[in-house]
Amino acid sequence: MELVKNVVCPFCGTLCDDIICKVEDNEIVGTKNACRIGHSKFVHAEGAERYRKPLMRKSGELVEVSMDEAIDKAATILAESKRPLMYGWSCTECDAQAVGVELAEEARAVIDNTASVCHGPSVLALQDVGYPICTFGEVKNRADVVVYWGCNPMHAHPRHLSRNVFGRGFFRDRGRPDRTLIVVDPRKSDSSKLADIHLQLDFNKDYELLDAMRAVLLGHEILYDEVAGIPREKIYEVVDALKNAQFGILFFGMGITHSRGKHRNIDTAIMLVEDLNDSAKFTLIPMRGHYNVTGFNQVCTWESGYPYCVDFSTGTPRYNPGETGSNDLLQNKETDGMMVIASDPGAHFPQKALERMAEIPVIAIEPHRTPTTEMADVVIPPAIVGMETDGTAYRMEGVPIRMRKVVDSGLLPDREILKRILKKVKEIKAASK
Amino acid sequence: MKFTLNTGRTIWQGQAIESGKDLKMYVDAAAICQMNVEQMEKMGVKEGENIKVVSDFGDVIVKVVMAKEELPEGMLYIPMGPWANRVIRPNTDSTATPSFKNVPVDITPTEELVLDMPTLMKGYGKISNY
Repeated sequence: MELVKNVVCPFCGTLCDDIICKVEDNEIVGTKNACRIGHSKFVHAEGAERYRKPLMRKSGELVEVSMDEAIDKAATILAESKRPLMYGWSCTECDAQAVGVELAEEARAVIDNTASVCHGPSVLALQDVGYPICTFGEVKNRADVVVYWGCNPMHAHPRHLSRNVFGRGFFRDRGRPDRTLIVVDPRKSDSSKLADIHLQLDFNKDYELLDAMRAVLLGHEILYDEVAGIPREKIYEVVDALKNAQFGILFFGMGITHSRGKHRNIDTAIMLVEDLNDSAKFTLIPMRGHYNVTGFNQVCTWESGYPYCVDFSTGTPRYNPGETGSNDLLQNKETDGMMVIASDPGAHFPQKALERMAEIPVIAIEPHRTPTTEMADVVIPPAIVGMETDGTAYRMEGVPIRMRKVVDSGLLPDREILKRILKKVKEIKAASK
Repeated sequence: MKFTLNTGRTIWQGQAIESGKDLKMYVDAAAICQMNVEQMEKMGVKEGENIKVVSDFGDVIVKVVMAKEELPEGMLYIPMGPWANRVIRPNTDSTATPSFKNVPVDITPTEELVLDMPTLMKGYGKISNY
């Protein structure tokens, strides 16, 4: 058995880079340091279907086809659709994403990533009011006040707390005892059970609570006994802790982006952080989900000028979330051909969007049997980034990390599949001119 | 009975999606509804029994489990996935992001069975284009 060290985990945006993989006969059979979810990704589970050959749905059933036939069909769908949508991108590496943006431009498609069902509202907010961010290293070494708002890292980012809060840092040499941990969640979540202060606010009231905290910070009194279900005195206590931070950090997640107010909640949260910088050093980091969702927003921005929901239908990039988002296009029945890569909208889009996916040709570049492949007409299995092929991914706060190849699958990487589809789309477009 | 539905990650759902969405593990992790134990007693439902969850946007059958992370009164929690997404509010409010949390739902105990992933997806009636 061989031990491969310093492997980067391709699951969540925490991008843990200290995984040890146990490899036997070109297969990962065990891991060290990985969390429960990361371990499940590295080690193949008995009975789970892994696609090794391209498939096409013919008369209702997925049947094996040649790679050439699958690539041809995928290119034809993209080239011939009037309003193609290319969605996903967050579970692959940056070079593949760059080819994807070129392909979207060539096919005059809309390109969008999983941010649009996740931290999209955060992107809208940071475009409105700014992005006072820092790195994990600064959090570990400096942070004495840590806030998790609307997120449950014990479940969604299982090693986030151990790396950033419990971990010992240069100026926080005892680790957890040197930090005040505040969790804001309507549930008594497993993360809140570890907190010094749990603000159990009423759901859908994040905006009210953030605004009340800003008012207190700016020297106003709260005129009510409680705001969002939190007693006035508690709010004073928390604001006092925040403004006396030597180095404070706000981590925030879906509890705030998916609740009523959406991007306006984040607007106010960012403004709270900015206000706090009058008396403290305070920063924020969004708790990004997929390991390279941040990378796509970076790549798409430097290629097209916009981070997601980019519409190339006129030949130049246009950006209007709410109109050019995947859910808007599917639910309004605009999309008439869809390519899914490195994500699973079948599992994570609402029913109304899936009703459209059932009607239109769908290409899935996907290694496993998923709800998306159940809806797909063409399935092309790629090598899995971070295990079977290498590439660059961006950690949730924007630090690029090189993903390693651990074993060989003999399958094409995403970037190679996309290059072949791009070449074919160019041929079809040239022939039709 | 009327509730507010919350959805999101659990570590068991995360483990299941990475192990294989075609496994029983996924059904056990995501086709469930967490409910406070007092609420279960009040409704007379036991862990492992099925309920039908209905919203303005759809319906789904899921299995009741006791919430280990206590919920505020009147809240239910279904882990993110194709079962929860049958009932969440699809509207994006012009932000591109659907409303996955805090959806009003009505629940009733049922004898109907929980569907596995392929059967659930078949319900969308995929048209074979070729």
